[in-house]
Amino acid sequence: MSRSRSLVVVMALAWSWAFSLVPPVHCDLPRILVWVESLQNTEELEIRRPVALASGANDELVVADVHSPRLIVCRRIGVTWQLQRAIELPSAPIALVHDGRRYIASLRGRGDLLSFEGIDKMQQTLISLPEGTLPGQLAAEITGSLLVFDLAREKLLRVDTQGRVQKELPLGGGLTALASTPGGGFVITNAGEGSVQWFGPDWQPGGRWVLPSEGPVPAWPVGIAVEPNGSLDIVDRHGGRILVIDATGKPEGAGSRRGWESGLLLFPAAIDRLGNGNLVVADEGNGRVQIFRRVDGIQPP
Amino acid sequence: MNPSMSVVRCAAVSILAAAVLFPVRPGRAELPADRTVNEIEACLSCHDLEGLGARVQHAPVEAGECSACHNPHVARFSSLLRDRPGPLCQTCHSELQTELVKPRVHAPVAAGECSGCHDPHGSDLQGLLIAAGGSLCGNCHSNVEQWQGRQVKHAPFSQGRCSTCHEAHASDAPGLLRGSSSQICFGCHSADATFKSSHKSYPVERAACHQCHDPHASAQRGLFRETIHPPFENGDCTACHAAAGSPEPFATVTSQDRLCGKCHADQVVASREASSGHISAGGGNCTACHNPHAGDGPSMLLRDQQSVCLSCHNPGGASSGEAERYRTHAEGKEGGDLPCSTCHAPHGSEQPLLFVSDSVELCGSCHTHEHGIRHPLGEETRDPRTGSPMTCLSCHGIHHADSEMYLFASPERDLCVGCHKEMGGQ
Repeated sequence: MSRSRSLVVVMALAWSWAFSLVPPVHCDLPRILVWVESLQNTEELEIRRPVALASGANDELVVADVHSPRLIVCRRIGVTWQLQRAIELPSAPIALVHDGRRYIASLRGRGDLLSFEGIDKMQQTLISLPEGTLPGQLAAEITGSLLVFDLAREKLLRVDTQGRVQKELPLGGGLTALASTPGGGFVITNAGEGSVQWFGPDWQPGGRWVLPSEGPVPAWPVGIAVEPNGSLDIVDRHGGRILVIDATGKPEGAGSRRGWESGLLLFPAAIDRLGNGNLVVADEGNGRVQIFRRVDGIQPP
Repeated sequence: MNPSMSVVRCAAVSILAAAVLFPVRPGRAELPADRTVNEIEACLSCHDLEGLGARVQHAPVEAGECSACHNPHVARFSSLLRDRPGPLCQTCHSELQTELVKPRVHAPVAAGECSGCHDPHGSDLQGLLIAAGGSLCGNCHSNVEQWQGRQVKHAPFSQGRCSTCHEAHASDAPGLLRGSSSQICFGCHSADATFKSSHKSYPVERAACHQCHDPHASAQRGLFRETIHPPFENGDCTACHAAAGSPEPFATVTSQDRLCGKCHADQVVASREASSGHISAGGGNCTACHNPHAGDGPSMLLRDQQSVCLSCHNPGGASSGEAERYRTHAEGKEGGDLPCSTCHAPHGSEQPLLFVSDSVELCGSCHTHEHGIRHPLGEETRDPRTGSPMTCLSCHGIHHADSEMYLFASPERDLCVGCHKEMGGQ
């Protein structure tokens, strides 16, 4: 073999070696969530623009829909979720939470909270808040008290079951989601900053983490669910993703992406955790509610 | 592995192979050591060099070293330059490297377009500038012409001394300013008795002066911005703020939503009661977007509308590589560059995504002729992927999409088979 021919072979091998080491330009987070199912509309009842949801039992889910404002009570019967009943709301819902006994909603333009209890959730009670309060995001603490973000004063309030303020903390604007943590603290998201901030049981600020973007699109977190081990499941409205980060802010993985097909999300608005550990997401842009399951073997109890 | 390491490896392999395959033959095309060339004489035998007679000459030109920048035989870059203009200039002007890492870099500097402002051979102006300050900046910044037409002009602006306040290459401050707004202003102005009296004794020395005063030019005395909020114009500061001598003089007398809602109830109510409320507006954080004292335009926004919106919705701006994400709808077309509020209600809306009306109706208000025979839309036609009513947004993006006509996929086939699965095999 001539010298030049052998050099060409050497060059070809060298090129293939060099290029084999080039990683893909776009490195995704590990996909650790898979789609399980979407709640099916019926002829009588359909989910149109879900913006909040909460689950009070393994087989019960309540969805807050801003299209003709209402709550839609859903139950798992056999192996499928069924839309059972709609409860009209006096104005558009902002947030919905289950405090262990009842569902509590904050509504646009109202200074109080509305609770729903009983088997059919038709038993409604007003929870008065101090004058001037404009409740936005909500979270329930294991002690039974509620965390309420006051949009007017940009303060977080801890209120008892009667709506009496026990503690308050100025947080500033831009808060888009709120959840309590098992240790007695809470976490908030700020969409404009694409960040999550953790506060300890003493309400002192802890870690603040900027969430990884989806390619060039910055994360726009609007909903949080907290796992028993402290991991956070965060729904990214602009990226159409669910991001999972551990209690130290390290990304564990993600699920879904922006789109229309089953399993994809379009401007999702809220997330909650079902009793079996699955995640339920209000897929507002697609007008549906979807359920996802972890597949990395770390399914929290 | 780091991708740049792979590139380095590829380059190293190529260079090595090329060196073996195409060795340089000694003595070929080299000049004998005892022979020198008068570069200026040789170059000017063909090239006219206007800069040679200029008052200020670039050092290599003055030294007759054309080859410091140009390769007389062959080069990869236009004008036979030895490197791209930016990196070439930095070989001598190494101080620019420290500028390039600053948070705000002037666009031509970032793009390596040094000759956009400097003549590389010679100029009658200091710094080898191609034109005097004001007119040079006005070549790109069209606002300069607009400001020049205004009645009251700030002295540094009217004298074309843009660099009094702005850095030309890069800065740590927004707007390429030389420091914070108050630092710059108090370089010339002092907080004397007249200053205090005209500001009603409020301690505004550390405030952002440019929020109320236009630092370039204005139609109003005091360089006030175009629209002045009536309580501010009337000097009725305590209508909104605590007294000037109080411990917190800038504190508002009540929460913003209540304060603003006294006169602007419609906007406050819309933001609170609409099913989709804007995050800031819904919380009554009016000053996130509006300047309560003075501003340009009737809405007294902090900046032009698109900049205000993108300050949250595209926080990194063009430098983050996200410039395409919220590209203005119909950009570059007739009637294009639409303000965000053409389609979105900034305070709140009953429609998703803060649309000002139903999306089909909204798109149809401009796009009246696009669909001669239109795909059925609305309640009666459900998107099989989601079960939701079909809208324009089922196929078209709002700001941009990968295919022509803002379509999410190619209209030849891919877009249609997304729903019409039965057509997939055809």
